[in-house]
Amino acid sequence: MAACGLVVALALLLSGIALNEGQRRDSLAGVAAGPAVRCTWLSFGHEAPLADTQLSALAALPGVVRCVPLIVGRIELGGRPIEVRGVPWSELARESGATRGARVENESEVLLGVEVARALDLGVGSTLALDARLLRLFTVAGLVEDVGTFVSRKAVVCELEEARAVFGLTDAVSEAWLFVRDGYEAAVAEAAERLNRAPGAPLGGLLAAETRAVRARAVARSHDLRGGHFAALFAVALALAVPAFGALSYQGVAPRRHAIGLMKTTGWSTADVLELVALENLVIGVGAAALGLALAWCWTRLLGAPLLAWLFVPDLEVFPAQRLPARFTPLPPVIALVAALAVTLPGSLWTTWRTARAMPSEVLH
Amino acid sequence: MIVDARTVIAVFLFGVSALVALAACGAALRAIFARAGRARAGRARDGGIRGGRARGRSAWDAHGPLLGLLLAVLAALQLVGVPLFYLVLQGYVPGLADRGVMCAYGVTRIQPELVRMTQVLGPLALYAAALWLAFASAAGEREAQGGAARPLHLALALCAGALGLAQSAAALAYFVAPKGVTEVTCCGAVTGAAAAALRLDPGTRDSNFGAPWVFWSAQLLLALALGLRGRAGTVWGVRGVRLGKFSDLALAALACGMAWISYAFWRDQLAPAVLGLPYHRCVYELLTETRGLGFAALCQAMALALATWPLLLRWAGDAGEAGARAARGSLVLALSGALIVAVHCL
Amino acid sequence: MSADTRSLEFNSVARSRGLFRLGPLDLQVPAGAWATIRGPSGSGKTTLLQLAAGLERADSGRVMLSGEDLTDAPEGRLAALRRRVIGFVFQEPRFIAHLSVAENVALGLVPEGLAARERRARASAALERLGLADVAGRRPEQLSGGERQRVAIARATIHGPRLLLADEPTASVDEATGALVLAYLRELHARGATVLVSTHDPAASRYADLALQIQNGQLVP
Repeated sequence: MAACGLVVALALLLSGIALNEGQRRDSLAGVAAGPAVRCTWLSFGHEAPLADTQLSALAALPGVVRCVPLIVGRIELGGRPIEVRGVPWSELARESGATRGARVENESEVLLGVEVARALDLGVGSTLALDARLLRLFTVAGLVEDVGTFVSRKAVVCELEEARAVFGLTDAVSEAWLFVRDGYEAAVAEAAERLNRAPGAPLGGLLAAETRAVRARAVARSHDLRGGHFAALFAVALALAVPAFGALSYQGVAPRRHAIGLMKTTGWSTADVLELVALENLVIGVGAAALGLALAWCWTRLLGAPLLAWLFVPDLEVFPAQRLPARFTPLPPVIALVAALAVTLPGSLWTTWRTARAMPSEVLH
Repeated sequence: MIVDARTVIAVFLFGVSALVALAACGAALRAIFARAGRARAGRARDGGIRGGRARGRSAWDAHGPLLGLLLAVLAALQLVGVPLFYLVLQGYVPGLADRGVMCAYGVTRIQPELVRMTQVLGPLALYAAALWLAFASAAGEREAQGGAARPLHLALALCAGALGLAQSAAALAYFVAPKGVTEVTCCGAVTGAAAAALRLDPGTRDSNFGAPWVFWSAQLLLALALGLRGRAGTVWGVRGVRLGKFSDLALAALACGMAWISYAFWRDQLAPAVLGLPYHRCVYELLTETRGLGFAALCQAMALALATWPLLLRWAGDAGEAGARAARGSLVLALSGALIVAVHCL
Repeated sequence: MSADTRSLEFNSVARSRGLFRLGPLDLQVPAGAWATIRGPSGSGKTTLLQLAAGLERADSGRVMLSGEDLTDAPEGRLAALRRRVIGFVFQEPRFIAHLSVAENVALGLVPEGLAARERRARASAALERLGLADVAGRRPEQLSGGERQRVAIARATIHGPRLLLADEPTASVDEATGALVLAYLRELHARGATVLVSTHDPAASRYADLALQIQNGQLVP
């Protein structure tokens, strides 16, 4: 019974960790695939439209290979906010993110992330209406299944000018992505921010430059913190499980003392009995780890982690229709083994010792 | 303190490990004091042989199996702690990227003393605990023949417990310590500017110890030596060949030399070849990129540790069979590790 | 008589358990002897046998097995003696319920490190010697009382003990089985084992080299 409880607890812990690791990997992969430096315009500390006139200055910075203007915004679709990205046609054509269907061939087509497609029940060939300042109809040309530089599993990607029209921006973009030569990341970011002090710099705000390293740190920290809080709850549970495991296994001691007393009459020593019982507990621990891992895999990959996924993705249903990315190597197996052994072996110490010390004469009278 | 799932579970593990190590130290000290007390009582009573045997029986019967249980649990926790600690280090990389950290090695350069203590004391504690269990098994066999357990066993148990406690404390201190203060430079400056300059010069020769022919020759020699030792009193059916303590000393010396050769080979030959970067000599990065090599590294480290056991067991009074078993175990581990390395070299 | 036949000696051995006190008593069972102990219930027969087997430790005095002092021997040494030299038969046969008969018989061979196949073979041979070849795969609760006692004897003698201690081995079985049991014990005695039997059975006493009487924890002359 103790082992069953441990397996269930492990399965939930490992499911959560696998979900968090999967999301962390995807997010970091997105950051790695993205620009070296991301430039935005801050007005009163909040992001505001970046004027087209600043793009040429950014493109001219030493070390910059290319400067790509983007519009990244949110539109309500199917009752939920969905990210919409407007990308220049030249970059869309260069994009090689794994897609199902065809590439975009004209401005009336969009690429849809698979998570958005599942949430809105859309597919290749479906018609999509983007309605912000202006309503525009698009056809879904392909579904994005993998991480790409400009595409995302969670976004709708259309051509830049179409995005301008939808959001009503005529001479501005929301941000500029700078692709730089190796090793120039920090220098370009610093140079971009120095533009604020250059003669003729626009007023009414500040140019902010965020490097890939800073973004990676922010992404990693947010996932780490969430994963840490989740694991901390289970760590408390595991800490309580250690004495609980001991107490539950102690209840199974009485019938074993008779058997052990008998074994000692036939020549088993206390050390032999200890070895046997300790090995049994080791097998229980390893078995619980393996079962917990298998259960977690099924819970996550086959069932979509119901009751758990909503903790990691806002606005997700308790029983989600979509499968979230989950990563089962290398962390979950190690944690499974660590947690299982750290509960079963110390938890059963006292019981094992008491059981093994049973004297034949005490037990057999 | 960086709070992520890996760190939280590692804190739990090392916390439990600390408690078990503390219990092992307490049990060892209790056994030592009990033995000393009985020795005094025995001398006072002038019990002769009976007093001596009473001392041997009471101390070992009362404390030996419990110590064995505690040290076995400690060894198991230390063993699973090794990959977990590495994963913790690896997990810190993105969060410390703005400090110049690019890989797990870079993470180790923040709070390096605590990292080193954790990485060194842990395997030492595991070694001591596993060795104690081997001693206890040999002592149990001697006990079955009528001999008594040795007092040095209790000292070794105390040592293993103390090492485990120190390692757990160092690990917990590392997790709690702030990490955002230090900045690290590119790991290409691993061994200092002068050495880095040497490495960047294609004309510089690598250490001879790391040459592939040296590594594979030493592996073959070690395998032969372990195979011979594993046969105890015979050499493939040729009876009468006895391997004395000098052979065990030679085997231990070979294992120690092999440790240095292996490290040089992995760093100077294997890492650049597998990673595809001629000047990138980082074992951490190698383990990150190729997970099979992590298992190989563990096998080879355990093989070399086990290869020193025949000498220590003989010193502790083993007649040869326990040492032969250790040699056979070491051979299996060494061959497993070597096979995985060979596959990656092809 | 074989070279490894064991003698048993009690020197001023005393043992207390609650209100009952055994001894101090002196006893010498020569190597290769057949000795019987008779006495009323609660007189200390079982305690004496358990002291001889190392299942209990004396409060004072010495229990010597062929000159080796068992009183202060390490627990591992006593366990080894029970595996290799001493066989003990309980009055009521006791088994581990979830193991088969063969596994119960081979229980003492496990710490010796024998392979499973070897253990099964020796268990089968031991059962066959007692006419129980066909019960090896059954569970102990499926056996009759006589079969259970014979299985217990097989377990106690599988390792060819040089000292056999039997606590009323025929008490819980019928006459025919009792005769079978005694015949088997006599066979072991003929092969050189020292046998110490506590019994009310006159048939057992008939062959005794040494007949002991115990009352209220003391040997009666």
